[in-house]
Amino acid sequence: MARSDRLGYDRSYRASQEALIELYILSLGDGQVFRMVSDTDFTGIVSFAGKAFAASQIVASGFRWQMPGAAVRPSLDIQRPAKPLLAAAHNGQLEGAVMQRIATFASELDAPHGTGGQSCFMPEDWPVNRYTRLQDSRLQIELGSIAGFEGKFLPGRVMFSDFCQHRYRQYDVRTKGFDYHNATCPYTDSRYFTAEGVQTKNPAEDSCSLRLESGCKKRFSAALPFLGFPGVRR
Amino acid sequence: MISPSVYTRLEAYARQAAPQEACALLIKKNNRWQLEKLANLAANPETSFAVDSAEIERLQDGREAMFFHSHPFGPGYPSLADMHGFMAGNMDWLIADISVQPAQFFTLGHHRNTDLHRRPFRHGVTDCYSLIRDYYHQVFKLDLPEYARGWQWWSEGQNLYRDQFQSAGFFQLGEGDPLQKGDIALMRLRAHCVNHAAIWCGEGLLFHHLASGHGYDPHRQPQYDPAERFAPFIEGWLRHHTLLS
Repeated sequence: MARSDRLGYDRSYRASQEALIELYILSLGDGQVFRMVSDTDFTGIVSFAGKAFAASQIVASGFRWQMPGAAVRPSLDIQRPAKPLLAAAHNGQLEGAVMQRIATFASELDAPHGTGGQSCFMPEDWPVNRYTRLQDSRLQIELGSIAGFEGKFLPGRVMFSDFCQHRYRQYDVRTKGFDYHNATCPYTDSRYFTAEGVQTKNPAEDSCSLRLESGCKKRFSAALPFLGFPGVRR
Repeated sequence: MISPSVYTRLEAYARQAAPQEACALLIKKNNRWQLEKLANLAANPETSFAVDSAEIERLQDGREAMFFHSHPFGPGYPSLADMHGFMAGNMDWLIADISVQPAQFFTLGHHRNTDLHRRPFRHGVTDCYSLIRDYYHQVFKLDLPEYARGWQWWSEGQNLYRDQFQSAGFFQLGEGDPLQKGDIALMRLRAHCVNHAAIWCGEGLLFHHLASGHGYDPHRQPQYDPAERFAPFIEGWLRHHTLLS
């Protein structure tokens, strides 16, 4: 239905976006977990995917993605932290702890705040770097990015141009059938090819070369599920 | 079997009645289907139909019959109301989608579809639950109940898999329980509740019938897939109580 505002414009085309909610999960090395949400959005308890998040006085800042320059150091400022959290901080248990940040739309929260869709954006993990303030009434944590730690290399995963990284099915000699446990390649057909890409009638010889021409294109016709990057140079 | 000439006559009748929904009764006489037109008595004959049940009974006169109606603007699958109507009676229903050329006929039948591997996705007729139902009938000789369902019931307030599995004789497996052939994986695919299910074939393989964005898609055929690919979408596992091992 078209709705006009007082100037006569139809505003029904406007894209309406719901409130974006940020949820914080602080996981300690000893298994303790603290779930929090900023109290500027909610009071009491907010539930997401069956887990309860306590509305707390949190100010989160500095979260961003950047390529050049110094590593990002976001911080989480918690006013009047919960007693167990404060105790953990005093005992040094926040060392090695990881803060997970989950962004989602309000409608994805469980009832009564949303419809329980449970979908969210990619959760981000931010390890605790140090405390910048530790008082009874205030806990300020500085976070670091995982890539900023010593011994971490980028990229985290190697891109191969020639090889597919799917796990192919295995022929089981005992059952005379294929084992698809942990297989990620969608191929389930009964046309068999050897590792050289030659068609064979013997299922025991079925093996994928993991190559585009001799493996993938032999098995699939239209959309190739090739999990390599033929476009990269090496 | 309905002969091509009957289909031709039904299509001509439905196109002539458009934009209203056409209704008819097919009665078997001397091994041939005879067409008896019925008046559409609905208040909105362009979006629904109503027929005189006494008239049907009089025309049928105890003989084998099929009920026909048309969807002038589609869709190519039964509506929730169609499925309710079909399940309330014991006649097979023939529906024609005349929004396409040539008209697409499909049947809501009481017989079982025995071809598990070649069938288009048609919600309510050959969808993910129909596949499970036909598979159980064929492999385990088990008759699972039919449920009236409308396309995208999962976003229209229904939660059929979750609400009905117990009454259909299934129980939920615990996490880590070993699986056996015939177990059902419940999945949530781009929805707020479980809206898809697949059959475990053993050896890490699932057999299922995926939908696309449309209630009717001839290119979506039942398929085998490694379960690993669908692991992120699986919300739980079911087993029929008669298949306890």
